[in-house]
Amino acid sequence: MKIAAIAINTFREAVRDKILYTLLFFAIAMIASSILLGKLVIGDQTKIIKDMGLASISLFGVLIAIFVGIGLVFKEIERKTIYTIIAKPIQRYQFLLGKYLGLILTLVVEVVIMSTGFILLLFYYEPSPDMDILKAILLIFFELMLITSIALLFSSFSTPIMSGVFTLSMYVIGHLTGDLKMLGSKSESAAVKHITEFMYYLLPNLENFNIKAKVVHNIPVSWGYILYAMSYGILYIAIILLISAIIFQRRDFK
Amino acid sequence: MNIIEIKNLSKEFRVGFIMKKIAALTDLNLSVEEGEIFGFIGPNGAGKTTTVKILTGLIYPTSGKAWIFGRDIRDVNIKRDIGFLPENPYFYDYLTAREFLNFYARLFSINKREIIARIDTLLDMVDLLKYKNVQLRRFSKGMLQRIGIAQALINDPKLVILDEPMSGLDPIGRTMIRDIILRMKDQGKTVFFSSHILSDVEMICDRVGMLFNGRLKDIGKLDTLLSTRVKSIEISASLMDDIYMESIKRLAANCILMDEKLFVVVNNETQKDEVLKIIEKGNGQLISLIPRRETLEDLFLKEINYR
Amino acid sequence: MLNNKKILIMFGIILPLLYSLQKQIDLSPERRGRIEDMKYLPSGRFLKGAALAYDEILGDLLWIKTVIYFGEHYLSNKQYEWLSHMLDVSTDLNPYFEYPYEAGGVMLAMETKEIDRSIALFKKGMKNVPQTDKRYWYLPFFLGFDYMYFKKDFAAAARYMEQAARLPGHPEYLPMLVTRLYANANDPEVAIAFLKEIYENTENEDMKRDIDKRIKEIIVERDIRLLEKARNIFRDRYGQYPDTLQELFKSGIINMIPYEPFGGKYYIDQKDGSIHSTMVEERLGVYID
Repeated sequence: MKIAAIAINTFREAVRDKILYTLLFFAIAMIASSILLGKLVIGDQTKIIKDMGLASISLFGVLIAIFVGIGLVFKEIERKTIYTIIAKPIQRYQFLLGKYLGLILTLVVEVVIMSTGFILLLFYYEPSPDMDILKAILLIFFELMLITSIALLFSSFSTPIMSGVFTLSMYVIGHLTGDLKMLGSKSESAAVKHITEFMYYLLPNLENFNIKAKVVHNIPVSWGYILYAMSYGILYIAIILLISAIIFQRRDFK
Repeated sequence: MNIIEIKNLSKEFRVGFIMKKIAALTDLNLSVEEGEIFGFIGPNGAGKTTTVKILTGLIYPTSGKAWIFGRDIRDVNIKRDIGFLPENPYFYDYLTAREFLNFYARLFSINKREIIARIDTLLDMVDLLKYKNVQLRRFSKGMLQRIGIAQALINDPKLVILDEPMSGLDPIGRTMIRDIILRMKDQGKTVFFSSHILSDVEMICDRVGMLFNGRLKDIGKLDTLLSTRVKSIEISASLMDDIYMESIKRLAANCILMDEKLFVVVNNETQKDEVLKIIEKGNGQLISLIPRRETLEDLFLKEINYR
Repeated sequence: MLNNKKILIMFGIILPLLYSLQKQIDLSPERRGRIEDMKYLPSGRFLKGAALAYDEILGDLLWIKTVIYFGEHYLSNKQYEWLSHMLDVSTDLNPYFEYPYEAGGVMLAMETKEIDRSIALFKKGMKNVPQTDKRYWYLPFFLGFDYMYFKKDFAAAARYMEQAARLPGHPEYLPMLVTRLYANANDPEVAIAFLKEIYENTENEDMKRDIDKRIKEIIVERDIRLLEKARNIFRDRYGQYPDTLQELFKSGIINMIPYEPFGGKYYIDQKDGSIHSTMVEERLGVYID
């Protein structure tokens, strides 16, 4: 109930913020531009549309998750709005969770709007498009939730610019850990091997959520896999939120 | 049972790159009784806000303890009965006054029907009822301070903590806040407020605590706090023979001749009585006798000079 | 409320779960063959625009992936479906980087036998890599080698070798080799000298072993040719093939029977008089005119 109040307020803030609409506008524009690009390609037009659509949903989702996420807690502290909240009978972790869920709610709305536009476009080109793209969108959404939690973690102790840099790096690294591990396993040094292996399991593996290429080329992705990836996402988010809560619980609001 | 009980409370901040320790509050002992208006005064940077932040759970003390309603301040449940207005508050300016109060009400799990009624009552009390659907970004500083107070009262608290509620307001705004605080007292609430504007405190507080450089210098009822201090008395009289004038000069703390009149300042009642006797003997005429009550301002300045 | 014990318990539960989930995910068919997704690798010219200003680093990453791709398939199935495409894209992204041309060209020639692609890659490198690069001379050198070894176009080979010999950093023997190449292109000795140079410059142990084997095969080829020549002299002199190589030696046509580098022996087939090594079943075709 209290968490919901914070979440709804966070959602309301995002909705009344103009940045969101700007990003949404660009996202829709980008999906629409895939029509144009599709025309330039000989052969499989829907492939381009699918590629562009999924990429836009993912890219703009990440932008919103990072840009809104990094300011989520910091802005409350900087503008001292947090003072009145903490003085109310609410645990700090409830506040944090509320902020997180508020942004997730924002992302849900944003992803739903973009996906609707994207799928309508697909239906225009194909009478019965392969609905496996929904699986890809589902996993993109889980990736967005994970990135949001990382942004929130950094935002709970660092300035927005630093958080932005950190989160963006985590996003990039999160897509490269697989390569990191592979490079490490080629190394002759056992230490390097172990370190890269350790990093591989420690850092978030965002490639787990990337089934875009499979879906676009109609390579089957089992629900079992989706379930694994989603569980991975939820558990990782739980860890990140837990760490954020610990940091947030201990800090002074000067 | 005291509403607020503070024992040996200290807070150190670590600042800068080398994490140098700075004491913001040192060994504070304080209690606030039920139903009183307690004024917490001191110059800027004295540690008032630090104390308030510790009481509301925004920061943690380095050492010492504090209780509100007899329960440890770390217990979140005590906050059900606390209202808090921070210094220079900023609020979610994208919300309207009504949405704003509704949001805070929901943090207390107050039921919906009650919320609606209470919001209107509070908006009426702080004279903002006609702005209830206006976004806070259009509010003036005084209006924000008032909606802030309404926010602090949303849960009908037993204790209201206000940090510098009058700073930055015009005289009308300050009067309004003063009236609201007095009304809270009438409703049986305990009010703890900090200020560096002494006239406000003097007018409405039952008791005050004075803070300098993180240490409590004085605490007590305003009257006793002021009456224990030596008051001065200003006497003016007509001119007399030099013999009498000389003996008055010897007694007085200060004595000047001006406009064919004698102005004498004495420090206590006995001196006053003696001066009056001399005037009588010398057939002088007493023009006026003004006891100068020491103000908080004087106390303040004295403290500052003292250091 | 969160207390330390609860937090520890939560970490204790979630972290192992995460670990085993990741293991499970890595095993699922959806994750396997990740690198083989190269059919979705767009052309380098497109990527150059799309990578914004990060084409160099993208090229570096792709180059690393290419090396891993090569290594993995070298050890497993020796199928290199995407190798030339990956090389092409990574050199598009990193046009001035010498090493991918050199190493890639050698991989294509020696391992996958895509000689035309190897030649094209070396030529692309010679066009793009600045001549001041310390290893630039390797590009015409290996290109010449491709022409000589695989294409048997000795004129072209000599031309590129000459170019290499004029560049700084080339080994001392190279001008001499060029002269010999012009004079006697079809000479196994030349090939052996080249291969020895390649052997010295190869770091990959498997590659080294491979080249070493190739050198020995050429030595076998050289020796067999030598012995064939001697056999023909023997036939012209006595009207018949010798029964054993010993006869060649005894008749004084050769002053020793060459040592077989693999540790085997050379012998004459009694049926048709052809000469073989006990260790090498098939002769290298490339040196025979």
